[in-house]
Amino acid sequence: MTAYIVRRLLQAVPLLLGILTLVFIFMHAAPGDPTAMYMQPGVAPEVLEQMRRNWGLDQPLHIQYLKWMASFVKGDFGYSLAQSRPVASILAERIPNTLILSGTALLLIFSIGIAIGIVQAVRQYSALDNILTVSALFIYSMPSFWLGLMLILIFAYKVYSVEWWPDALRFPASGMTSVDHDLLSGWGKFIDWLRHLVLPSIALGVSSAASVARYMRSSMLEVIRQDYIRTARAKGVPERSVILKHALKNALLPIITLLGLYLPFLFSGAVLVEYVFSWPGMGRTIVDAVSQRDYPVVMATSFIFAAFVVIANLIADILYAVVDPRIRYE
Amino acid sequence: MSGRVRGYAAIATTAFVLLACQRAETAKTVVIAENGTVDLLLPLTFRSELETELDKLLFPGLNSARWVDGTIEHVLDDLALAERWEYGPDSTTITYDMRDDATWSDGEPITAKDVVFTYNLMLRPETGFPYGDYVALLDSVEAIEEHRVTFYFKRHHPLMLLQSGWSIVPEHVYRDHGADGKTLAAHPTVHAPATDLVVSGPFRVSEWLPAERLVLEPRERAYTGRSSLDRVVFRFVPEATTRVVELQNGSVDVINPVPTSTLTSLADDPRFQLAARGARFYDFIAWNGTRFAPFADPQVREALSLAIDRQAILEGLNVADYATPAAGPFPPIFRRLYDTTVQPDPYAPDRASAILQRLGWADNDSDGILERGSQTFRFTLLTNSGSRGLMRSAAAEIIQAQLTRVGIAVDIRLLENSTLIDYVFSDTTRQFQAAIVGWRVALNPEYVRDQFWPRDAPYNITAYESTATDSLIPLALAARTAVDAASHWRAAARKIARDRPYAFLWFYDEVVGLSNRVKNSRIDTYSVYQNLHHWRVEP
Repeated sequence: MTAYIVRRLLQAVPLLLGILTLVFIFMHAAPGDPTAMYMQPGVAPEVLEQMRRNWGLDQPLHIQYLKWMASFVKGDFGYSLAQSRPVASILAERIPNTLILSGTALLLIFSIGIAIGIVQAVRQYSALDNILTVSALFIYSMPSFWLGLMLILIFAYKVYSVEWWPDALRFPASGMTSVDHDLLSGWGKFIDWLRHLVLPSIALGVSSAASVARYMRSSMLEVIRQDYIRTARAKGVPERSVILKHALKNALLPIITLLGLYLPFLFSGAVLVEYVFSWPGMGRTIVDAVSQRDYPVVMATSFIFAAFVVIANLIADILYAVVDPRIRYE
Repeated sequence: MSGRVRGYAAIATTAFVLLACQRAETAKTVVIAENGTVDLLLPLTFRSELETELDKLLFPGLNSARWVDGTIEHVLDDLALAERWEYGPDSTTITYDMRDDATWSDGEPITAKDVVFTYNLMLRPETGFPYGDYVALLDSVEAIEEHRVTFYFKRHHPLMLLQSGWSIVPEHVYRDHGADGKTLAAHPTVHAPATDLVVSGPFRVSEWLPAERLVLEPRERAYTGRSSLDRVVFRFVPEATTRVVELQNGSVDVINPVPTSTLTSLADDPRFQLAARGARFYDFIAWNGTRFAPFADPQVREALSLAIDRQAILEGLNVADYATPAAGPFPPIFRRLYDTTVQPDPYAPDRASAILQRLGWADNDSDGILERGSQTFRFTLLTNSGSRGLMRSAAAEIIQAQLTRVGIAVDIRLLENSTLIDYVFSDTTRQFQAAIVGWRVALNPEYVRDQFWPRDAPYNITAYESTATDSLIPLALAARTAVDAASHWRAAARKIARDRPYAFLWFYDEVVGLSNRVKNSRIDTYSVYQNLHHWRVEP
């Protein structure tokens, strides 16, 4: 297994370098340059030209690429052109925020998706199954940013004017914490933080939860038709244990591989959701950096996203082997 | 659901409700949701709009600027570091007497040495001060006494007070970091969390989470006196809808700016006040005659202008209360520069058609589009699809329909903002035919006007050429007083309006939305937060 992990990690190196090279080419091929954000009457064009020189943007593209790659390999992500500070410090601030949001969304995707899938499988072809199927397809079709805006309009706006609506179900529309966060007690801080997570993580995760539910339903249906389930029932094991203990474990196997598939979706979704909810994460950083043509930040954030996806896929493969003893990686 | 599960759920919900209701005392906090963001708290670098506003509060200058009766005036208010100024005998010098009770937030006194240090940094090429034109006419700055400083200019000109009013930074903090712009910008205090940032104004930074919020707290011993606010929280909320929702649900007290699509609904809501910052921006269509030959003819440009119904577009977009059709480069907000004889072109499609017909344009093949010889009157109109450009993309479609009525075919191409800037402004080959773009209105037109109209000006994007305009601008720039300069600027504006290198479309306001609990704000064309230290909030 260790040899397999090492081999996969080594294989990831050329993949990541290839991704970075493509991002570099695409970013520089796009019209516009970082000085556009400073362009205004009163700033002489010579000043902008000097900035381009200072940033090394006057050099041939291949020289810029090699220089960037050389410092990147040494672990130096460079200096943000828009924020005048090391990219590493920006990443250090933003990566945890995105992981918190994506992690919560992931939890939501699998817990809700699996629960609904089980219910649908157990109650196959019932009215409940049909309603859940239609709802899942409906939710699955919603783009995350649109769903985000709708959640804001309903749970951060409309419900504020409904008097009987409980306070706990009125949510903040943006940010990670309230402005009075520092004045709250320890628990208060935690709850404040959770409340800010609710809407963005739902916006980010709920459509994937709908698809996990579909996978879970079919996987569960397949498992509960197996002989060992019939045997368990014949032995008089309560139905609850049959489903949750015997069937669930095996039905979960194909679901685990989805973990690797959903992470890329989550990160691309985070780009829009973080913007809508003013969540100070990597997604918002990359949106701002692309629009400002802040090349070093775009390169670094793309690398981190790519690395997350590669690692997530690897984890999914390893998990698959862990839960299914029939699978062996040589 | 079993009883046990129901029990857990009830406990969790109760805890959530109780804890969610636990809110700290925020009575004297004002929360502002800003579209902009803050990258660096150092006045000597490139400044965004919000950073410029913060500079005035964190690092006041020797004098303060104000928008008074249609012009920028410089005053010595409670923010200004000086108590009086006087011009030298030949009017090329200004000497300021500074307050002697002003201290930096670390307790050091603010002296003339700080002023000299700041201006020397601005004048030194190594600093890379981006607004070089700003100090181009400044020769040197000298500390006469501890609290007395003299500015020496190369000649007398109307901007001497503006140019001596820049934000002052503390010498003792940056002295060893001023080798060049990069070392200066790398100073640890100017980056988040910036709680050690040494400031001179009424507020200091108490928390800064980049891309999330910046919190200011009043300084207890500021020379301006202590603000009645306990905290000012700037939250960075890029999505316009989210900003509006937060104002409506009471999470924030101020939003800047209000998106145009929600102006009407907020104006009708008695809980809020809207403060319009008159004519902060203008939009125009740049006709590039070098890429589409018919635009080189002033008569064609006149016909195009007559075929556009500006008022109908503004009414159609529901922004007529916050925008006015434009006739030339100066909006009506300027007392001295606005010329009432320069009026927007009326909507007169028949006159437009007549002009085009006279010039030989006719729809010979009955396809609804004019031709002349082998040329068809069809061009590509660029504009942007960004948040501020929402109105632009909608306007482009209405203009397309209006021009179709006189036989002109328009293909619209929406571009991302940086790409549009590149196509229209950066790329000196100007590979566009027509573009709806716009600028902020410069409140000191003397400062930038020579950058648009002269033949080789960096932002003369339409290859406009007029010897009359070219001769008027140097006269205006050389004038000794703003009043003298104004007559030349008005004459230049009249000429530009007649030549129509652009179809000037409209001047539009930037609107700030405030909850009624915010009192005593002075929001105008010049600034939003200029008197933030005098704002009050009701509980």
